[in-house]
Amino acid sequence: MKFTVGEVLPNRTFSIDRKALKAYADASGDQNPIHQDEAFARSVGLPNVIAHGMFTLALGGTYISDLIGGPSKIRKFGARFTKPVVVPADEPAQVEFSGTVASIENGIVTIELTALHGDQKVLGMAKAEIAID
Amino acid sequence: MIDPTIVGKRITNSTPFTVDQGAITRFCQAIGEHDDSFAPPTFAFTFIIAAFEESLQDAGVDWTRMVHGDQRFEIREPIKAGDRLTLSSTVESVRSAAGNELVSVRADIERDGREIIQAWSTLVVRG
Repeated sequence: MKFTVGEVLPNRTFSIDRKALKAYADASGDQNPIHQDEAFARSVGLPNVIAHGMFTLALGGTYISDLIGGPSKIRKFGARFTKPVVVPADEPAQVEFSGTVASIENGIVTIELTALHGDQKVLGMAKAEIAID
Repeated sequence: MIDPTIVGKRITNSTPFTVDQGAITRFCQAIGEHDDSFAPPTFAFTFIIAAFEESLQDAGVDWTRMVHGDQRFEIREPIKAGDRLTLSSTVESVRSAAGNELVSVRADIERDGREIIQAWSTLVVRG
């Protein structure tokens, strides 16, 4: 992998449906019903079922991993969860990731990530630091 | 109200648990990751969450109003299958902001007595 400061990385859209939420719940152990049960989600004041924030963040990890050839070089990774990704039963939610190379210093490439659901940023201050040889 | 005296509370699992390839592979499949030779950066949260729940037990948290505020990881070495890990979690702060209550918790993950991952989480109880 070869990066330059300021480089804009190719964007990628992930589609999240209810089946994907169930698969993430099973794989992560997070069975909170707000991510699967529409009636429950509404009963606690949410507009509908929402994706696990950690699922959205994990997809950002996949986005980075595919760009750099695997997850093992990611040294720092994180974000704020600024808006929920609402997942209606009949309409998968789309989350579009893009990235910019913010710096390359001391063997570390810092990538700033943007995750958009419609026109809303669902992650804030999202950043990955990658070790390069 | 979250009990503010939980700040500083630390929970450690002193018996190591072993990470199996099946758990990594299932997680990778759920997030569209093709390379399951190492765990993805957010995989650690799958066991951190249980430690957090234990930390916040009896602290007056309304779990039905809990959402995740932020999350970050520092990874010295990625997790892989066969790793024997221990996990500690520490409540770093409890505060109120904009009508919500925020709890910050840190997790320290060790492999063979060596720290490999630290993770910081802010959990938000919506007011």
